[in-house]
Amino acid sequence: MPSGLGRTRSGRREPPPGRCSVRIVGGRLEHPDSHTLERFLATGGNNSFRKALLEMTPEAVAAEVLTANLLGRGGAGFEAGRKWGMLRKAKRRYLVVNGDESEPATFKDHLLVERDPHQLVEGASIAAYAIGASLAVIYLRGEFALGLERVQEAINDAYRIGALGRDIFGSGFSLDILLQPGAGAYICGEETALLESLEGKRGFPRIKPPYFPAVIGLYGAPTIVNNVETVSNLPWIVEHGGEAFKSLGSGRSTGTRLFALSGQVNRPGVYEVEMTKITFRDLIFGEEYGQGLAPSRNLTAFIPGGASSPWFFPEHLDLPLGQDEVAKAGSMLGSGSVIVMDDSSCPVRSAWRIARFFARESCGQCTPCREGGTWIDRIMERIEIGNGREEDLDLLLDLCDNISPGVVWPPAQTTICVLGPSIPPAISAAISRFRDDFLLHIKEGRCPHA
Amino acid sequence: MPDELVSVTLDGQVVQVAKGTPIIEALDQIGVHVPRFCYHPRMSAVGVCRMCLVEVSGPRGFSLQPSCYLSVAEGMEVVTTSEAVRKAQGGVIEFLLANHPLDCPVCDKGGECPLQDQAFAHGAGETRYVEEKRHYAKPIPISRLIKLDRERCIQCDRCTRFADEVAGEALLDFRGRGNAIRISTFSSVEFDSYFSGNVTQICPVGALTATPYRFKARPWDLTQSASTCGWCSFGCQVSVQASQNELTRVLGIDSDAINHSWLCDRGRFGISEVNNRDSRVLSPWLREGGARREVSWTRAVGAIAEVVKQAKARNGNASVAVIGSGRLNLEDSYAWAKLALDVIGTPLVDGLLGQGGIAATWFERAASIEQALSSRALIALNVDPKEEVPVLHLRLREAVRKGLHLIEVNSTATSLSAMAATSIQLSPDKVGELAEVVMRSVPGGEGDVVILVGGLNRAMDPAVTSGILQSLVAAMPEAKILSALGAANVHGAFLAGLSPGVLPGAGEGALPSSWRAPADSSRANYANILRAASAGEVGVLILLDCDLEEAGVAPAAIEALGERCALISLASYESATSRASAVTLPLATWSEARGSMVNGEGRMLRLGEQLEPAGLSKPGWVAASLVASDLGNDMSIFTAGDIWAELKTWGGAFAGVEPEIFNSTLDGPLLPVARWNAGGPPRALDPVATPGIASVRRQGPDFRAGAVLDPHATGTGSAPTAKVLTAGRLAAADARAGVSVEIGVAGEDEAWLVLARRVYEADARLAANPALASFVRDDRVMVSPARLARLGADDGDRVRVIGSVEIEAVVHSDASIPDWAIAVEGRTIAVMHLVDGAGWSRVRLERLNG
Amino acid sequence: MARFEGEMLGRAERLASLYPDPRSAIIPLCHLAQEQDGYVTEEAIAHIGELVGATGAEVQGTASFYDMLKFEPVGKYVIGVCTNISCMLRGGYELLDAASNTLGVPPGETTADGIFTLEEVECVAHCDKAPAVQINYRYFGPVDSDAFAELVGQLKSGELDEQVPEHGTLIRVLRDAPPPIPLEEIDAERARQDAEREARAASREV
Repeated sequence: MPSGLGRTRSGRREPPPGRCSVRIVGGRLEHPDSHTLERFLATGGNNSFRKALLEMTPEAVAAEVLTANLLGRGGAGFEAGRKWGMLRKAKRRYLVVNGDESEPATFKDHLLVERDPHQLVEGASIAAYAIGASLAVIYLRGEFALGLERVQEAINDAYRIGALGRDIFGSGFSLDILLQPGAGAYICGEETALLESLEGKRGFPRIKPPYFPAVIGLYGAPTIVNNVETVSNLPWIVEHGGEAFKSLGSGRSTGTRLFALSGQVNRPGVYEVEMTKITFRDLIFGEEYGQGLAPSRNLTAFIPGGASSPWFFPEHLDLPLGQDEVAKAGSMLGSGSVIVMDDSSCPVRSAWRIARFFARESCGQCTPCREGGTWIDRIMERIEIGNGREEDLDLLLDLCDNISPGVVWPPAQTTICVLGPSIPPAISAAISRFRDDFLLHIKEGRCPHA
Repeated sequence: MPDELVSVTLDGQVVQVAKGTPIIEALDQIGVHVPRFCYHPRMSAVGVCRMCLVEVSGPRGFSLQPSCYLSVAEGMEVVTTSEAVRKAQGGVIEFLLANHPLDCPVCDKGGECPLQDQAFAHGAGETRYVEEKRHYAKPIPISRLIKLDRERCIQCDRCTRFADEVAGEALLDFRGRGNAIRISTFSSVEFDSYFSGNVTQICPVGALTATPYRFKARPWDLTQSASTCGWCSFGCQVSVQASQNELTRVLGIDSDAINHSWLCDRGRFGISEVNNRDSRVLSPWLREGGARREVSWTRAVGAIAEVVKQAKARNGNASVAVIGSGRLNLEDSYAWAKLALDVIGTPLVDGLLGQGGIAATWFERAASIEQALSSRALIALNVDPKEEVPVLHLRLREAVRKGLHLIEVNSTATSLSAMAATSIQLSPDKVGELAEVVMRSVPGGEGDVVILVGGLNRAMDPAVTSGILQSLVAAMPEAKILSALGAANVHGAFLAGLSPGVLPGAGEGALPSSWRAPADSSRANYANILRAASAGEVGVLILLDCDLEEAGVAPAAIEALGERCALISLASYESATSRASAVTLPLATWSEARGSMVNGEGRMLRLGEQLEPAGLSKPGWVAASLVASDLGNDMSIFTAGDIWAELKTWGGAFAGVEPEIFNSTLDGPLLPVARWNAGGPPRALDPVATPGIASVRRQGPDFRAGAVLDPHATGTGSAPTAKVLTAGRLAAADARAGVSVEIGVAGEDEAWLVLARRVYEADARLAANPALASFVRDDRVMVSPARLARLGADDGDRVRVIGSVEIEAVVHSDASIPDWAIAVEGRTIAVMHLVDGAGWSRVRLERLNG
Repeated sequence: MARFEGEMLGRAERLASLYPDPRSAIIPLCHLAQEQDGYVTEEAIAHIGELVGATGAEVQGTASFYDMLKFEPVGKYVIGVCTNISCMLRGGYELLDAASNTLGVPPGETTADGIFTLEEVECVAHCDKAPAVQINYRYFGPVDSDAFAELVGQLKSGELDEQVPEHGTLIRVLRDAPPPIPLEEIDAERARQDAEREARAASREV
């Protein structure tokens, strides 16, 4: 049971539990001093960047990443190599590393920035070299105070040892990396909102087209936006080659991924696992992973890829942790966050809390999300506290439909970005699967789980 | 270059549309109106309100897309009538109404509200929203002119986009996030912009309202007419709206050629002075035995005729002189020109306050606004558009953003400086070499160059500007000119012949035998007339809507003038001049008489009539006709139509001008009409872009000046043709009118005065305007840091400025002021009297102790 | 204070000069203002506008979008209790109630002594330690009501001073690097590298 203080202090995260045949991004985490330059250098740090600069052309690096089929780890799962290939030709281009991790129940980047910041800087440097970026910016969530300090330290270290600045390692390649703190707005994880924020503006997602920052990004220049975990994979790929990476996992899901397991499970944590090789059942109940639920509790639902993904139920437990496998079953692997709910929890309350989150984090720019999100939040709150009406269920579904027509997956949208359409999956899942719970709330005028 | 066309299918209809057209405009073109809020045709599309969602075909089938943001593409299919579209639009309307208060009955926008209208058209009959609505304190004054009601706001981003993108003054922005996002100014910094009123015009709900209009009228009680703003010479097209013989508001009409629907606050809120009867001249006045008395028109006109006759009998025709200000409309100007030059027969006529030389150079080579903004290089000479012709500043900003090469020639920094590719200093010792320096800064030769000329520095005689302009034109014979001279109809006054050495039409008209040939016109110049009058060489001085105090004559000097000669004034507003006059005739002011004017591109524009003239005032041409009659020559002018007929016979600028031209255009024809390419039918007004105009029409309006305000009307714009103006007469007239002026040399302790025109100047009209009077700034003096040091003064000290008069003001150090200059700002009218009538006025500074 | 002065002004100017567009420094400068004053004052907003070439309304518009930026004084310690889904499933709301009882203020308010401000916050990415608490953005968890009371005691006694600086101080490690390489210099270098890249591509085709 929760033990209060002691080992839970910020900055003293224990190494992630779990077993993985290969550690790609979490290799250094078993060392308590994994965040130090000394440990970094002692464990092969910068060997890959050096190799890339001195032995490989930028296009060779990009080719390895393309071969690796490295899927973006931020949520959308777009192939990083393909994204790089879409970069518009221009004199000036930018690399931005997205470390604004804020999706509820997602905490793997938090771990990486605090525990292996040098790997992040090395990965960002390799990416900048591969795409010829004029400048790289690491945008970190503002609340990651310790992560910000550690990454700044790692950047300072890199300048000190000649891994950043002019003529890095005598290669003729020069690069600056800036660290940009966010200031508390979930929407800035959306890549165009992040760019707006980085330009000193409100985090309003940009309207599409253009669909990709690779065409028009930071300051109007072509920009690659890659997630923290994505670039943290690059040192390994440069060292071992794209083929070696691709030989892990199967299908389009190659390499390993960090899965963040939380909720009503005995051993929440971040687990690096080879993709597609274990199932949700393994992750939640496996001895090396989640170790199951509290005694005499049954699993009622789990969310496979962050709060915005459609819910899964016990019948989905045997799906493997692979991008396409999850998509085919009607949800997404997203940011790799698995939230577990058991039968002691109230599904109405869970759906409401998710809706409330998105309503609070709406940027306010477009109408359906700004107005619809809050409206749904209010109705759900009424139902949860016992003031619901039966007609509220149809109203909820219709409002969801007006934000995300058809309430289908992948979602359609009347909105500018996908934040608004992140509300309907939870609402529709809860209403369709737990309709009786809703009716009980309405009938009894209270939450039956309270 | 003809637009490239693409083929698209809109609701099953295959049409050809110019590539790059937003889908919403392509749909407008075929008569399909998609509901909308955030879209505005004059601002960039943001697609935030989501009201205009339609189904658009794409690589993955049809999807809902904002039709304002996406442009047509070859082969694109668009569906606006599907269930999916209906559902999405209904959903957006419901979301917008969820938090919108149900206060339509007390809302100024009620009856002309896009939200109200589109809720009727696309919304459900009743609400499903049972939660508490958002609440904010209201209304919040965000400036002295505008109030904000945040509860009504639908966050469409129009006002904020206008402030940032169009006006370049991001003083209004969103604040907060999500459901709590709201429009806000910062702290105690008010939304202080010359263009602030536009946000009330484009607000699609009742969130932003103009304080002077609040609770003044309901839209369905308003009558309106199409007109032209009467404040400056840019010629913004407006809808003037009135209720119960009082002006209630002015809205900008979206004229492609001119104002793109925008107005400045000076123009928009100018109605407050028209409505202020206390400041108006409401009846004829006669000074008898030292006292001013109200008299009848007959009495006053008789008195004028009498003094004119006496003066002529005593000292000949040239003992009567006429000074105008460019404020009379075209018809009035012509009638007075005819009265002066033909009936009275005096050559001493200047309706342009000395700007005739510039005007003559201008009309020979007038550029349209569009030509100026799309030229290869625009040379701005002695002009700050933001202060003189404010809406041009907005058009210029857009043009510079699109790549216009701007060269500024001014004495001190202006609003152009930040936009200009090159800024060249207009200093007194470099006037001679200026043309050469400017030429060197024009990239790649002289073709397609336009000169924008104004009258920014009041302390510099217009003749100096005229000289520079002529040397520029001599160096670049192909260059065209756009004029930013004031007042509103100064160009019309020139073309009407109310200018030294110019005949009506500014062409080679057939000179009537009686009409005084413009031979000895070198004397006929504002400064010379004034000098002659002061010297007692003029028996009667007639002032046409011209306040001498505002023009730079101190009140004591005006009174002295009144002693020396008979001052006759035609005036709408009381002023030092009207009070010193022997006879004052009440003049119908803007919107009280139908007529026309000519703007700085030479475009003839309609002036609508919306009010009965105040008190006993009459149109200026009626006054001229009455005076002429008493002088025994009725001029054959009994209607405004008579004037039009005469103007046409003068040819030149007026060749081919028929009143019917106005029926086919939103604005009016460029003069001469041969220069005018009317293009296609006028732009259909977007009823959501400028709600008030369309709604008044729907409510049963009064269109006194043509039907073009109909938002859905399309005219047939066929351009009448006329013979091309010949330049021979003009060149001669120009040479005669161009008065050479010595700039002189500044003494040891003297410096050259820079007295820049400002939008808000302390003239009699602004003083009469309760909405705007507070915007006049305090007097202040700005000098270079070096001069301040030499003076031994500190920033913020009080100093005395000594010129033809003395004023006291606070001095500031400003690094952008050249060392040879002393810039005086702030607008007590006394400041204007520092101008001493020399080529370039000089002043000195004294530090005040204590 | 309020406007940046002395050393803080130096840091502010360095921040504004780091980016290709100084407006990118708006958020870092707001953090700096909080480090100086504990919250973002109106004077600081005006000063930031001057430093980056934006109006006060624009800086305010940006700053007010973000939860971490405060525009009124807050406690020395801003305590956030996460109630988002993972923490809620493990007692986040119960912890928030307990915190409120312990501090004697409801969420959103500051204790009378000005030491603590209590907030309900969204997911802080500390979900394996749910329910999680952040104190001036330093993380603790799992926290129950007893542990919370103990934490409050430790903050009051100064035991956590090293780990938890006063509210506003976000990053105690300053950038220690040469001034950014001028982008024109980088552009020239990249142009050379691009030319080499194209030459390689051409030779491969042959």
